[in-house]
Amino acid sequence: MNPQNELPVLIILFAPLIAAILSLIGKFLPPRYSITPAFLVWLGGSLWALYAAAPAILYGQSLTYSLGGWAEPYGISLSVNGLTWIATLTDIVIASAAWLATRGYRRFGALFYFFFFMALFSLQGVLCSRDIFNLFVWFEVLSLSSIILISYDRSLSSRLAAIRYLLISSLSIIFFLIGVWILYRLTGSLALTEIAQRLQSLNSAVVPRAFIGTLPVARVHSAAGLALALITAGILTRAAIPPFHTWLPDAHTAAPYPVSALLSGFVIKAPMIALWRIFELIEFPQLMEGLVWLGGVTAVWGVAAAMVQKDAKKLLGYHSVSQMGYILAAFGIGGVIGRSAALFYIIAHALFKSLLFLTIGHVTTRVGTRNVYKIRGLRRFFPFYTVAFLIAAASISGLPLLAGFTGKVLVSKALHSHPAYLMLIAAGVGTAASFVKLSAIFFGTASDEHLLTLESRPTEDRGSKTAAGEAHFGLLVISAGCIAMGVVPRLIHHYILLLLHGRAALPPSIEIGWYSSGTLLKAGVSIGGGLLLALFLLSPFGKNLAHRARAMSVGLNGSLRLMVAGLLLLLFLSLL
Amino acid sequence: MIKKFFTIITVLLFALMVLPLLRQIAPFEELAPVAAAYAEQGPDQLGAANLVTSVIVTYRGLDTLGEVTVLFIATAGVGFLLRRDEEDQLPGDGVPRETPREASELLGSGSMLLFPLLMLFGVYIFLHGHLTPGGGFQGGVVIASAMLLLMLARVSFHLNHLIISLVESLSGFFYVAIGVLGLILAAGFLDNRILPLGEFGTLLSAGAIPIIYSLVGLKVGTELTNVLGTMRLTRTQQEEDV
Repeated sequence: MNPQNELPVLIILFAPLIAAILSLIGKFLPPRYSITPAFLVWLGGSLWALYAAAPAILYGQSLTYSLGGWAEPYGISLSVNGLTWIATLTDIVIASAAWLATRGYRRFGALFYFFFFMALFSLQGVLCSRDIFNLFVWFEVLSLSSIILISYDRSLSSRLAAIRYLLISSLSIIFFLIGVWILYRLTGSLALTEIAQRLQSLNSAVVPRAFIGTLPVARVHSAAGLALALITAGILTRAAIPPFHTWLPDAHTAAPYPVSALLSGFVIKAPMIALWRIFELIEFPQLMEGLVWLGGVTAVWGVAAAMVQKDAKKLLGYHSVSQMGYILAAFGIGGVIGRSAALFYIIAHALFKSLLFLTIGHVTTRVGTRNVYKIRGLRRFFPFYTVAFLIAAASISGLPLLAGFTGKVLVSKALHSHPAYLMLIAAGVGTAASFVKLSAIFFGTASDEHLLTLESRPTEDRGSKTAAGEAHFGLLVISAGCIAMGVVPRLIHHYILLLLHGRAALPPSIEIGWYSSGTLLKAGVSIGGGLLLALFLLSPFGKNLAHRARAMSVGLNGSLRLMVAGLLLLLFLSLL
Repeated sequence: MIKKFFTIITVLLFALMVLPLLRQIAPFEELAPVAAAYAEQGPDQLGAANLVTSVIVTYRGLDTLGEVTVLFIATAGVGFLLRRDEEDQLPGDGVPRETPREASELLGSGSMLLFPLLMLFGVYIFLHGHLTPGGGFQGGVVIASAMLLLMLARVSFHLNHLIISLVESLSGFFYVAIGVLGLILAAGFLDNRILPLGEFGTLLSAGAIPIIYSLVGLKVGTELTNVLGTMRLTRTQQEEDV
């Protein structure tokens, strides 16, 4: 226990809370004196804390703070390790860009920024907590604050989406809580480290019977397996993994676009980090194998739904689902390369997906419609946004020299011998097709109707000129990140490994072959296939087919049934 | 018919899968180690006669802070989402509403008698949270129910949202502030030992626990009252408020 190690943890966790309280004071003050300082306090505090925490983490330690001085298992421990560190940095970048974009979007009140920072506060809690019940509390704060952010435009559709999210996330948290209860009954503790230790002694009493391939695997105590499956179902709902994903497309479409960028960019990744922190302590091979397959299914399911969408933001929402599949599959396969691939892809996806939402959100708000088939020729009106969009779209489609390409190389390295990888390849082709279709809104000639709406509004952003500049700055930083991850992947991957394992335990370097002929060929084939598929999608026949596919959307009842089916599947997996 | 069939199948499958729980989870015969440690050391360490309270407020204080936050956000959300703008059109709009009827004599007089008692009871519950069963959450709910009684009994009753919000925000702020004081004066965030533990079992004991629980009680009470108030407001009253 030394203050040098504890202070950064406290500041990383509480900086957003302080910012939230400061922005609430903005009810009584002009925004310049409350909202901007709140942002700066949060940004400065968090960055300083990350800087202060870095040396210890590079030496493979994790910084732990036990609440009120009560060590685990009596109290709650928060800890910052390499994983949390990287995730926090990603969160800071995405949230800053989203915050900057809110200023150009419209004049939000103090309350909006309060909920914004509360969401960031709970995200930090999810990233830092090492206590399973505490994790539940943070998930609750996170879902409630994101629900309010989603419905902030207060249109009927956004309220419906928010209610749907509320119902689905409440059901998921019930799964989670039942799992926590079983774990507590089995182990008598809520601290993850303690639970892991007790489970190990429970497992060792069970005869190994399960096999993965030909390897005998230690069988997990079956009640503990059920508990972990329930907890996983709860967390996967928050990460929008099919069949628990049905809330996401509506919610991310209805939210104001800077909020969508934060939600898709980071809020759905944080549960993955929580899952990671649970399963780095507790071994559960059957479930991990199931997650690899689920990841493949997720990628294909999401992309299939995305390709037929007409609403630009909904299309992006389904792509978030699909991209989570890559992360889940890489996470499930595990090992040094699998886990680092998952984290690399989390960062890459956070960057390009938030960039996509910020650019598409901005231009569609200005045009006044989100119909992908109708809008054309925006390139002339938004040159800056067009370039930023193209960087992001090329990233997600896997074009070389950008973040998505290197992310996919790493994931394929981790998964290459696994049959589920074929599904990821198929999803890659679909993704490219879908983004060719979406890019069409920037090219061609604009229709008169849209020219009129654009010309009747002020020439640049609705906010002031500085607000527009701030939003551009955010986009610039994220675009630079996308390019950096594509150009110097080796360096970034090296730092990820260094932060995850520490300098002393650094695993021997693995030859990835980032830009070998094989990876380039693969990218070429998937983009070529994507182009062909896109031509089909934009043809009258393809449009007709998409129209029919859209009619098959799932209602609330259907999504609850899907969730129950998914839960049954996970429970079954855990008993296998 | 087919739907029912599927439902039955699903329920059966669930039952099959949770079967191991029945076999493997035996009733507790002794306290789990963590619980035993709480029971043994709790009174000496924290000086609270009600052990549940010392777990909730101190050992697992961050959870409680989180729950209070959940409630705060939920209240703000209800207020935000139920507020209606001019352009909002809902089914039933345009139909003239019935003017609310005055409450009966019985309810009116009964509320006059019960209101002070309920308030007193609510305050008692959270002030004695460290001694007897109950605490901030329970006391707060009793206070809110007293306010509900008042709203039901008097049509003209007008809730002062400004005062309610002020009490709510201030108690939340002081809760966090006490947490930070713990960081400076005692072993860590939300440590109750910033004040002397006092004599075991008396009202002024257990360090900061009574203060924290009073703040929680005030906060929960005002929050729930706020929710009730928002739901009660008719459209015209909202317009007056804004």
